[in-house]
Order: sequence, then structure tokens, then C-alpha cells
Amino acid sequence: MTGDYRLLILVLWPFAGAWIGYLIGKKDSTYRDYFADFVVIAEFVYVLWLFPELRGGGTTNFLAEGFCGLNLHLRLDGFREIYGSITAYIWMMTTLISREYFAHYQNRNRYYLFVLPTLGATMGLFLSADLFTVYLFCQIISFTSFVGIAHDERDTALKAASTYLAAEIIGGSFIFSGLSRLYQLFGTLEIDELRAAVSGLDDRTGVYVAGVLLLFGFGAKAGMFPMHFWMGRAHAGSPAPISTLLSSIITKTGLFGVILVCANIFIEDKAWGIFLLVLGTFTMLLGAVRAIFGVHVKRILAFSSLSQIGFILMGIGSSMYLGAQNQTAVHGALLHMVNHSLLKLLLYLCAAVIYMRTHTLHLDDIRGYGRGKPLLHAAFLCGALGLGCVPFFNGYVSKTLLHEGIVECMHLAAEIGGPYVLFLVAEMLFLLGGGMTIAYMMKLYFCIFIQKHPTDQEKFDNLNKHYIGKATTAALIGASAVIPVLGMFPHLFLERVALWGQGILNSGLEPYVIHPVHYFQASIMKGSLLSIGAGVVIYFSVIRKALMKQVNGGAWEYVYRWPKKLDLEDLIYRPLIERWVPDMCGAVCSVLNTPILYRAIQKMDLTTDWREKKKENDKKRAEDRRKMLEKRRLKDHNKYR
Amino acid sequence: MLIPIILPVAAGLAMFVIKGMEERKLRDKYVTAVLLVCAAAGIYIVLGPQSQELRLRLSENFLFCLKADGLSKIFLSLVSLAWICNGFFSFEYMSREERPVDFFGFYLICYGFISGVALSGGFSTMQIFYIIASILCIPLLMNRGTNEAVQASVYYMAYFLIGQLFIHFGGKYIMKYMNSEEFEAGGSLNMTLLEGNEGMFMAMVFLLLLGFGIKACVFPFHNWHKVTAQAAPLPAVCAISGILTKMGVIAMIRVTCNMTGMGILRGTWVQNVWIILAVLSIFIGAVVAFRTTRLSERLAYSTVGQVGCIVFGVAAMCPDGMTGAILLMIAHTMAFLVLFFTTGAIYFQTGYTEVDQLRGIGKKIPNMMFCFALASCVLMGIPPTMGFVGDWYTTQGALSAISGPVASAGSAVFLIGELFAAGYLLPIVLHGFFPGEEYSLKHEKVKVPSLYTRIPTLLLTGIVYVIGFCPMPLISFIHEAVSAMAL
Repeated sequence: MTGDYRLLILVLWPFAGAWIGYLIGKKDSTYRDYFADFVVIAEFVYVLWLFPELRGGGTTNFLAEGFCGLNLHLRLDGFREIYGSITAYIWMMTTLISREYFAHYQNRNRYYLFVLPTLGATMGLFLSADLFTVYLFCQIISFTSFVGIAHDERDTALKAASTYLAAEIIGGSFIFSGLSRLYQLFGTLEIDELRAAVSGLDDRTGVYVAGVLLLFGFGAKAGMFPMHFWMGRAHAGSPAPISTLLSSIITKTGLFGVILVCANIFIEDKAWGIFLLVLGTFTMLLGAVRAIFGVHVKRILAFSSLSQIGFILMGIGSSMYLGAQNQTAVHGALLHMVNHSLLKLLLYLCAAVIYMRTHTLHLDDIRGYGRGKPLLHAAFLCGALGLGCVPFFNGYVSKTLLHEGIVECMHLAAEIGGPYVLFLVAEMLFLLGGGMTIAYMMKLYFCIFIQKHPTDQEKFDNLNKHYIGKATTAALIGASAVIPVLGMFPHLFLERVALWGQGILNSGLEPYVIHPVHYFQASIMKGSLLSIGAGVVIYFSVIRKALMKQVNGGAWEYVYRWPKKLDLEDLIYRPLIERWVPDMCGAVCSVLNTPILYRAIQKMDLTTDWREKKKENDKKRAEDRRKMLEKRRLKDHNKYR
Repeated sequence: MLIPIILPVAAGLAMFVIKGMEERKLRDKYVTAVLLVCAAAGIYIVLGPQSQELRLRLSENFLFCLKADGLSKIFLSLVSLAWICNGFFSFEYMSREERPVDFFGFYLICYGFISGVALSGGFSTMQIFYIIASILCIPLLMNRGTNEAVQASVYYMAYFLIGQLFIHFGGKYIMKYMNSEEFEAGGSLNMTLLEGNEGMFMAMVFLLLLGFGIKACVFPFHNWHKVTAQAAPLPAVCAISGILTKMGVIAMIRVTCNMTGMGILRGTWVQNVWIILAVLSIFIGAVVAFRTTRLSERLAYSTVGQVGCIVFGVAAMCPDGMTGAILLMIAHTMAFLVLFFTTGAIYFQTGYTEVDQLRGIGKKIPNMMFCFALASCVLMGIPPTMGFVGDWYTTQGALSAISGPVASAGSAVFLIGELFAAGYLLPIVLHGFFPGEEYSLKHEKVKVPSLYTRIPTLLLTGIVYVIGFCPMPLISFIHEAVSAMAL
């Protein structure tokens, strides 16, 4: 145990706080809620307090050797500090609204007992400088966040939670095998040493096998394409604070793992970059299409997260392809992570505010709920515009950078004879994906704030001005004010953040050639405007025409047109895990497992007669004795008579 | 040296003679006292100097030899811990069975002989202790005296006799080529004598391993375990799956490390077939446990799978694999006892035998089920538990020592086994705590179990987690023991 203990405290404080809170909660739940607020606020302040440590690019480390037989290595540097503070910030916001949100729920003590450790584990994961540490915290997060997802104990929530856990455990075993292969090759899991060790290697097949295993393992947490199946249900089934955490932070832990693998094992590996880009494109399109079809707010937001994660993966892929001069793509990927965390926090908070009064999030049931509620309206608009990459909102900055990164890839491919067409297609799909983002956010916006509910509109309007508690109001204002501020002054905030964090995705061997990006120039804005145009077209041509219908010539209703059978979870994954694999293995086993000897012995028909006979004998003997005594008594009796 | 062997045997025999043992209070105190004294003697040996030896030449060709090397110390302490905890648990459990005195008497005697196996320093000594310990488990199995129990014991006996046949012939043949009657580091094979007879020798080594493998429920001789687990009283099952199966593993390690030496076996068909058998038993154990719904059968097959993992580590024949196997052995024994104690306590109160009946049980006894969940994490190999440490070392050993497709297939099946372990253990936990909407079973009979169950459960969970968090002292001890065996 050497190094800076403050990092360890950062990780362990929420664990300790959870137990203390649990003990308090057994006595009094009000104090427990205040204590939980105190724990998260203290954590946030503590992270911010560590910022000055990093002035001038310094890092601090904490190393616990021999933990679990391997090393627990925590480090604080630019990117880790940024993500640590975002984690603490989002946790603080969700805990602030939890008191109001869970007011009528059971088992709140259990909720806090498991959600606070998730904060500690997430913090540990973002601080880790060793792949084993990442794996360790990954598994802890899976188990603790499971309890949060399943919190309300309804069947849908349980199904969602078990799917989530299954995905995480399968992913975890992928990570395990990937790590053991890496350790076999290099004898270390330290990130810095790995980077050096890989560059000196000639035969890279073993590394690729390990890398793919690790990618899919972390992909399960991030919601990457083949392992994304848990996303929709888990977000929709869990309570809103937990879906916020899942979407904003926990998926980012997976992305952090992917970044560590990419940036240290496959740094400047072009083939790997293209592989990741293709996976990212798939993820992005799939998420966007499912979001357009969705009719449930949280599901739409969940698939939107999937889509945005696809964008981030595309950014990581293109930064791998670009090699040493990958500043634009790196900045794009990092900033999109940050922005997406903040935006999803805001949007899920809005969803939570709606759910707290309506207890439903189906689009048909909440039509017109937002009418006459300016705070909710403004907050949602900030989130929607940010996510849709409209200029002057934060999403615009990062997506522009991502777009520029892909364009740079295109130029590079043309120069060195790479797959130019692939990047061209990727760029077009990127813009299309941006358009789809606009389209599904418009769908939500029109539904909640423009349309009127045919029957319940009066009930909704009566709620105006007292639909939201104080703590939630504060959280909503805080979360939404950030969005335009970051978007309007990109050079002041976001670029600094990117400069701090860029070290994690770059080899750092060559210094960057700086070419500043002028975000608000017409040529740069062109891509964004194209996307927005595409989005408007998609909304009016597809969503209005195909996904809505007019009932009796009156109100418009939303129809779920996604074919029910085309759900990857029910179509492939669940049967695969529940039936196909066990049946196949079971068939093999029933052949191998024939108990020949046992059957032979059963044929012998052994019985335990001896015991029964013994009992009978005992009974008979007792009877004889009784008779004898009786006789003797009679005899005596006669004698005395 | 002799105390941990003779004392429990004498005390156990005395139990049949002393009157008043029918009364529970006296019996409990007596058994506790004996177990604690024996454990103290065991601790004395474990903490004592490196080489403690006892040699008695009983006849021309029989040497009675006891040695306390690293492996003996580890196994002895494991046995003591498990035996004490299990004994404590069975005070409550056996009070309702018909013949508790018989049970505790044989339980103590069995303890003595298993300690003997742990301490024995030569093949013939080990064989004697091994046979007697195996035979003495039969009264434990038959304790209920029901039809099934007798059938199960006959079945156990049949397998035991087959194994004995293998061990006898294999052992006799191999001893001809040994320089020394004792266990030596790195083996004591006489290479000049062996020349020309390698083929037969290998076959005989394999036969010997197979014979000991029967006790460790290695495929294809794993069926006995399920049958006994269903018929015997739970404490007996704990003793059998927790310790008796590990006795087979220890015997295997002794044969390969201290008699033939691993050098001669490495890379031969013996090793390959051995690995394949281990992998198959992992696979079968995991899959059958996943598919069954009977609680006892599930736990029994889970043992088959987990012991398969241990044997896989041993069969890798390298220091890392051996370290991993020993770690897994310790982790599995402790975690498994926790599983058995929790489910056993529930069974004791309610008579539940099906997995589905446990739905919603976590609402009633959250602490016990939390221990169950923690222990299942150990069996699944989730970090930061001891199971992970063992898995990690075993996988490392397998990947480094075995080459070719066997290594990747083996480690893949190993992982599949872990996944299936998650598949058959987690639903119990999850449904226990989250029964779902339509749950109506109220579990009126279930109460918080008495201290007799809670103390050993909490103790074992605590120990396994503390070791999991900082395993370095234990690992360095195991490293020493393994390097002393000179693989």
C-alpha cells in the first residue's frame, strides 16, 4: 500500500457511507436521506478539491500490491479527474432527486445500500491505471447496480435486471479470458507497461485475440453492438435515477475500458481503428432506428444512448486510424462522452419529473403533459437541442469534432491508399445518424409539449406550478444551465477539458500540430445543418406518416410498428442462454452422465428388512416380557389370596 | 504428531461407551471440546518447525511415516476448520435425527483418519488412512437407515472398491520403481529400473490417478456423489463434498509430485487424458447442475464441477496451476460449506428440496441469504473474492504449461463452467431477494436460524473474504510448499 491515500478514500468513502446510511436508515429514514445527500455532496467537493493536484500535468498514484493476488493501482490524471468529477456530479444530482422520486417506494434502505457503493466502484474504475483494477470495479458495478435496476420488484424490472446481469457476467468472463491471455503474453496488466510491451512485439495474433475478447467484454458494459441487448429493457424497467446513472455513467465505464484497451494495446493500429469504426456505425444506426420506432420515453432515451455510444466508438475508431495526429478525433470522442453524460442526465431528469406525477411514460399517456410548464419546457429543449447538435449547444461542439475526425480519416485514406469509400459511407451514415437524432427528439418534443391529450389535458394543466419539488427544481435548473453555456463558449470550457483529457487516447510521442477549429463558421456548420435538415425530413415523412395514426379524425396516437419478433434479446440471446446452449450441453452430458453402475445396483433391489425385523423382534420381546411379568404378578396375587 | 490422529479416534470410540451421550447438552460439549483440542494440536503442528517427522518401522516392508510439510499443513488446517464449523452446524441439525450419537462418534473417528491422510509421509501410510477414512464415511452416510441410505452406501462402497482395486494394483506396481518408501520432493523414481517399462508404468500411474480420482468425483466416476448427497444427512454431505473429495485431490498431488515426479508425466498421454477427464467433469458438473431443479442434486453436481476445476489445476503440472488448485480447494471448501449451511438451515426448518421453493426466502432471512450470495460469488470467481484468485492462477498455469488445443479448450471450458456456475447459483439468490409480483409463498415456517448455524456461516464467509482481499501471505505460503515439492 503505497502512494496517495486520498485516492483510496475517494473510492472507499461511498462504501463506508452506504453502511453508515444503512444503519441510520434502520432507525430513521429522513436522516438517512439527508446523510446520503451528504455522502454524495462530500464526494463531489472532495473530487473538486483534488483538481489543483494536476496543475502542470502532474499525476498522483496509489498502489496496493497483492490485492486479490494482483495489483490495485489507482491514478489521478487529466481525463480521470474530469470523469471522476462528472461521476460525482451526476450522482449528486440523481441522489438529490431520489428523495422525491422514491417517496412512495418500499425498501429505500436497500436502494441506498447498493447505489452508494456503485458510486465508489465507478469512481475506482475511472481512476484505475491497471486493467485488473478496471475488471474488479466493473464486476462490483454489475452486482450493485443490478439491485438498483430491480428496485421496484415488478416482473418487467426483474426481467430487465436479469438480462443486464447476464450480459455483464458474460462480458466479465470475456474480460477475464482476455486479461489472462494478456498476462500470459506480457506478465503485467499495468497500462503503461503494456503500451511499451506491445510495441516491441512482432507476432500480434495473440494480442488480437485478447483484444477482441476485452473489447466485447467492455462492450457489454458500454452497450456496444453485439452486446447491447440489455440496454432498452434495463433503462425502461429501472427507476429514473438508476436509468440516469446507467445511461450517463455506467455505459461510460465500458467505454473507458474500450479506450484503455485501444489506446494502450492497439495504439496507431489502422486495422483495429477500422474494425471499431464499423462496429460503432452499426451501434449508432441500430440505436437511432430503434429510437425512432419507440413509443416509451425511457426506451427512446435508452436507444438514443446506444446511438450516441456508437458515435463515440466511431470517434475512437477514427482516432486509432489517424495515428499520431489524431487530435480532432480524440477531442471529439472525449467531449462527446462528457456532453452525452450531461445531456442524458438532463433528459432523464425531465423523464423523472414527468413520471413522478403521471406514473407512466408511454407517449400516448403523456401527450401534452408539458404544456404550461416553462421550466420543464426549457430544460427539455436544452437537452433536445444539445443532443441534436444544434449550434450553440454543447452537443454541437463534440459532434462537429467527430465529423471532422472522420473527414480527416477520409483524406488520410486517400493519401495512403486506404479504404476511402468506407470512410465516405461512414461520413454519410454519420450525418444520417445525426438527422435521426433530431427526428426522435422532435418526436418527443412534439408529443410532450405541443400535442394535447384528448381526455386528461385538464388534469395535466391543474398540476402546473406545483408539479415538482424544491430539490428537483434545483437539480433541473443546475443540469440544464450547463448545456448552452458549454455550447456557446467552446474555447473557454470544452476545449480545455479536451486538452486535459487527450493524453488518454494518444501515444504522446509526437506533439500535436495545432490547427484551431472555428466552430461557428459556415463551412463547419454545414454538416450540422445538413443533419438538422435530414432530421426534419425524417420526422415529417417517416414518423408523422408511418408511426402515428389519427383516431376517429381527432387526436394523433403513436403506434409501435417495430416487428415484435425482431427483438434481438427475445429472438436470439434469451433462447441462446436459456435453451439452446443448455439443451445442447445437456444432450452431450446425458450421454456422458449415464450411471450404469447405479442402475445395476438398483436392479439388485436392496431393502432394509433387517431394521424392520429388528423392530418386530424388539416388540415381540417386550410383549413376552410384559406377559411374563403379568403372569408373575397374577401368580403372586394368587399366592396371597 | 499423533495427537490429531489418535485423540479424535479415541474420543469417538469413547462416545459409544460413555453413557448419557443421548442427552444433547453433554454431547455437544464433549464434541466441541474434542474438536477444539484436536484443532489446537493441529495449529501446533501447522505453526511448528518446517520438518516434523515420525517414523515407525512396523515390519520389514511397512514403514509408518508421518511428515508435516507445506501441503500437509494446508490440508490439515483446512480439515480442522471445516470439521469444527461443520460439527458446530450439526449440533442443531442432528438433534432431530434418530441416531445422533452414532453420527458424532463416527464423525470424530473420521476426523482422525482424514488428519492422518493429511499428515502421512509415505504411500503405504497414506493408503491405510485413506481406506479407513473412506470406509468410516459409510456409517455417516447410513445414519438415517432408510432404504435410500443403504442403497447409496452400497453404491458408494462399490465405487470405493473399484477405486481400491485401481489403487492397490497401481500402487503395488509403482512402488517397485521407487527408491524410497516415503514421499520425496520431486519424486523418487529409479530411472535405471524403469528403463524399458515405461509403457506399463504410465498405464499404472494412470490407473492410480483414476483410483484416487474416484474420490475426487472425476469423470467418469462421479455419479456416486449425487446419490450420497441425496440420501445422507446434510452434515455428512458437507463432510463428504467439502473434505472427502479434496482428500482424493491431495492423494493425486502426492502421487504426481512426491512419488513419480511431474517431469516424467509432463507432456505424456497420461497428462492429456487426465486434463480431458478434468475438463469433462467441469463441464458435466456445471451443465447438470444448471439443468436440475433439485437443490441437493444441484449442489452435488456443482461440487463435481468445482473439484474438476481443482483437478484441472493439478493436471496442468506447473507451479502456478498447483497454487491455483490449492487456492481453489480452500475457497471451494469454505464457500461450499456456507452454501450448505444456509440451505441446510432452511431445509431443517421447512423441508424444502426444490430450488423454486426458495423464492422469496431472502425477505425472511436476509443475512443468511446475503452470506449465500457472497459465497456464490466466490464459486463464480468474481473479483475481489478468493475464487477469482484461484481461477486466475489456475488459468495462468493452464495457459503457460499446457500447449496446443488442449490449453485453449481447457481454459474455455473452465470459463464456461464459471458461467454456468453463475447460471445455477445466481437465480437462487436473485429469486430469493426479488421474488417477483406473483409471489405468494410466505415462508411462515422460516425463522432466523439459531446461533449454531449463524456463527459458522458468518465465520467462514468472513475468512474466505479476508483471504480473498489480501491473499499474499497465503499465496507465498503455498508457493513455498509448492517449491518444496520441486515440481
